[in-house]
Amino acid sequence: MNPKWRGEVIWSTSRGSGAPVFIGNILAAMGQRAGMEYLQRLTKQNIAKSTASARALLDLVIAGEYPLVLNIFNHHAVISRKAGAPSEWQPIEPVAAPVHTIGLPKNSPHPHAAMLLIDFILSTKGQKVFQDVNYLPAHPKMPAKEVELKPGGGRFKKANYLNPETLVDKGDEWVDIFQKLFIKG
Amino acid sequence: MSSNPAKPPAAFRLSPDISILILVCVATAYLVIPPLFAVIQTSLTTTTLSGGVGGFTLRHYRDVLFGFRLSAPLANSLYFAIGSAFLATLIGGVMAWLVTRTDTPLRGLGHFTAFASFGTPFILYTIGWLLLLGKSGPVNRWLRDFFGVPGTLFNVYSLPGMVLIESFLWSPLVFLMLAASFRAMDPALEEASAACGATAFQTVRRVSLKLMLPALFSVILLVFIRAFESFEIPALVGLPGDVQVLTTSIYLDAHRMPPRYGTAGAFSVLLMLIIAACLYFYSRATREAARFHTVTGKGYRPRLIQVGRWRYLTGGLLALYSVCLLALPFLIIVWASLLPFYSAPSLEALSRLTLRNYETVIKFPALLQSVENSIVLGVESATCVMALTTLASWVLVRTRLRARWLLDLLTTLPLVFPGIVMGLAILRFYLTVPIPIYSTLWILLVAYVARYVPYGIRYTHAGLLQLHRELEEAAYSSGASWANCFRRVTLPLLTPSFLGGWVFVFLISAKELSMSILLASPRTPVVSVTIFELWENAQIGELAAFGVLWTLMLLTVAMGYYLFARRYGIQLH
Repeated sequence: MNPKWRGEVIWSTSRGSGAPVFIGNILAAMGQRAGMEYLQRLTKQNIAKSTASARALLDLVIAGEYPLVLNIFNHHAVISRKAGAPSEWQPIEPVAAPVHTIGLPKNSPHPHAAMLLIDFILSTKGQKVFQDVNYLPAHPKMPAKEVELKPGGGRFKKANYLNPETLVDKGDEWVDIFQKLFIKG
Repeated sequence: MSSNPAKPPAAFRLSPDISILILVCVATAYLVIPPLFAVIQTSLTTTTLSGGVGGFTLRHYRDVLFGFRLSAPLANSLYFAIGSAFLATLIGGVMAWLVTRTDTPLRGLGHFTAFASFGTPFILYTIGWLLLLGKSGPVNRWLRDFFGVPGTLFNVYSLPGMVLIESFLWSPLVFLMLAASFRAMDPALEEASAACGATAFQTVRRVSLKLMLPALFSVILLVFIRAFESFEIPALVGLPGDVQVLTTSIYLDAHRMPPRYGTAGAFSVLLMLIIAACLYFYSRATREAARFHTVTGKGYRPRLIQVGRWRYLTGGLLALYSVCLLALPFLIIVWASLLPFYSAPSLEALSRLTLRNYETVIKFPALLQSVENSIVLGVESATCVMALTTLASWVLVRTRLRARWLLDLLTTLPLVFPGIVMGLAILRFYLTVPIPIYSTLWILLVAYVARYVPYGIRYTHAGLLQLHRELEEAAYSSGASWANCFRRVTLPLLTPSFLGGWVFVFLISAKELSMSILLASPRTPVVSVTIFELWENAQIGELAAFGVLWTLMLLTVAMGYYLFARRYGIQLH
C-alpha cells in the first residue's frame, strides 16, 4: 500500500493463476467485507496488467521493467536465482496454491500406457523428477528441493489450496471483481 | 471487341469464362462457407461447457452492443486501427515508391527488409521492440542520458506505442502489396505531365498519387481491418498501460466458465457488416477501372525517377527503415538469445554470454520438424492461392458476367474473419464431416488457402486491372484460344504480380498463428506455434535462439528468390 509502488507493480489477468486468484485468496483469508475494503485500497496502486504468464512476468521483473510482480510461482523465482538472475519471492499468508491436474482423454490411442505414465508421475520416483529441477512435488511425503518452498518449510505456514471446483464456482465472481475494480472502462 | 472474348464454337459448350467462374466459385465456396456458417451459428447460440451448441439466443449481440463500457474501448480501437492504417501505409508506401519508382541507392535493402521482417512471427518482433522501447530498454536509457532527466520519457505501453509497433508490423505487408502495383504504372502519364512542364513533385502529387489511389485505399482498408480485430499488440502493449480496445475487453470478459465464444462470434458478425459497407464503397470507387489501366501495348516498363542530390536523403530513409524494422529488433533478439536470463544490454552482462540456448534448440527435434512443416506449407499454400486467385481475378476483371459479385464476395469474405474464429470453425467442420484431414498438414493447408485468398487476389486483381485488354484482344484476333492466350499472354505479363503475391502468401503462411494454434497437432508442429509455446513457457532465451535461426533461414529464402527473379529477368526494383 506504500505509494512508492504506485504503477510499479504488475500482475497477470490469468483466471487460473493471476489477479482473480489473488482476489479470491484475499477474500478467503480476510473475509468478504475486510477483503473488499483491502481490494478497494489496492486499486489506488494502479497495478499494471498483462495477459502473459506468471513466469513471463517474473522475467519482466528480472529484466528491470517492473520492480515487483504479484502472484507468481515461488519455485520460478528460485530457479532464476540459481541461474544468477536477481529474483526473490515473498509469501503473503496464506499462500494461494493452484492445483495441477492430470488426466486421460476419452478415446486416447494408448490408454494403458497412459495409465502407467500417470502412475509413474504420481509415485515418489516420478515426483523426484519434479523435485530435482526445483519444481514442487505434489506428493505429501516429498519435500521441495528447497524446503522453504512448501508450506511449513520455514517461510510460510499455510497454503490455501484452490481446487478445480472452487475455481469453476467462484472464478466468475473473482473475474467480475477484477473487471469492476481494476479495469478502467 | 465484345465483352465476351472467346465465343464458344458450339452452342452446348460452356464458354471459358462461365466454366472458370463456376470452378472458382465452387472452390472458394468450399473453403469459405463452412467458417461463415460456423461464425453466424456461434453468434446466435449458447455454448455449453463441453463446447457443444446450445439454444438460440440474441444475448451475444446485446452483450457486444450494450454489455461493455463500449465508448472508451471503441474510441481506442478506432484510434489504434486508423492510426496504424495510416502510419503503416505511409511508411510502407513511401519505401515501396522509393524502391520501385526511383533510382535511389540501397533499393535492394528495401525489398530485403520487407521480406525478412514480414516472414518473422509477430511475437518475436513484438518482444524485440518491447525490449528496445521498454522502461529499462536502451531507447529510454539513451533518452534519459541525452536529456539528463530521470524517469521514462517514452512510455511504450500507450496508444501511440501500440500504433507505432502495429505499424511496424504491417508496413512490410504494405510495402510488398504496393510495390507490385507501383511497378506496373504507366510511364506515359507521368512523362506527359513532365512534358507539360510539371515539376517532379507536382507529377507525383497530381498524377502518380491519383494513379495509386485504388491500391492505397485497399491497403489502408486492409490494415485498418486487421488492426481493428487484432489482439496481440493490444494485449502485449496496451493492457499493461491500461489501454483497452474492443478485442481486449472481450478477451478479459471471456475469462469465465464456460468461455463466451458467442460474444466473439457476435463481434465478428458486426465487424463483417462494417467491413462489407467499406468494401461496397471501395468497389464503387474502383468501378471505372479503365481509368487505372496502365499497362497497354506500348511502353510497359515504367521509367525510374532520378532523385539526383536527394539521393542521400532517400538512401538514408531506406537505411533507417531497415535499421528500425530489421536490424534493431534482430540485434536485441540475438542479444537475448545469448543470455541465460534476460537483462538489458550492458558491459556487465557480457560476462554471462552463452551458447546454451542454441544447443537446446538444435537438440530438440520438434523444433526442426516445425521448420520443415512451415516451409512445405508455405510453398503449397502460396501456389494454391495464387492459382486460384489468378483465375478469379481474370473473371472479375475481364468478363462482364452478372454473377461476378458472388465471386467478389466469396473471395473477400475470409478477410473479415478473425483468425481464431476461422480456425475454430474449420476445426469443428472437419471433426464432423468424413474427410479425414484432422491433425494432418492438410487441414492447415486448407485453412491457409481459405484465409489468404483475399490477399492473393489483391495482387492479381491489381495486376490485371493495370493490364489493358488490348494485348489479349490482339492474341484472340490472331486466332489464339482462351487457354493459349491466358498461358502465353496474360500469365507472362502478370508474372511480377503473381510472384509478388506468391512470396507474400508464403511469408504470411509461415507466420500464421491464430488458426495454426488450433489446427496444428503435436505431430504436425509449425514454427509460429512452436514460438508461441516457447513464449507461453517464458523460455525467452530459447525463443530468441530459435527466432534467430528462423530469421536466418528466411533470409536464405529471400536470397534464393532474389537470384531466381534476376535469372529470369523479373523486375524487382
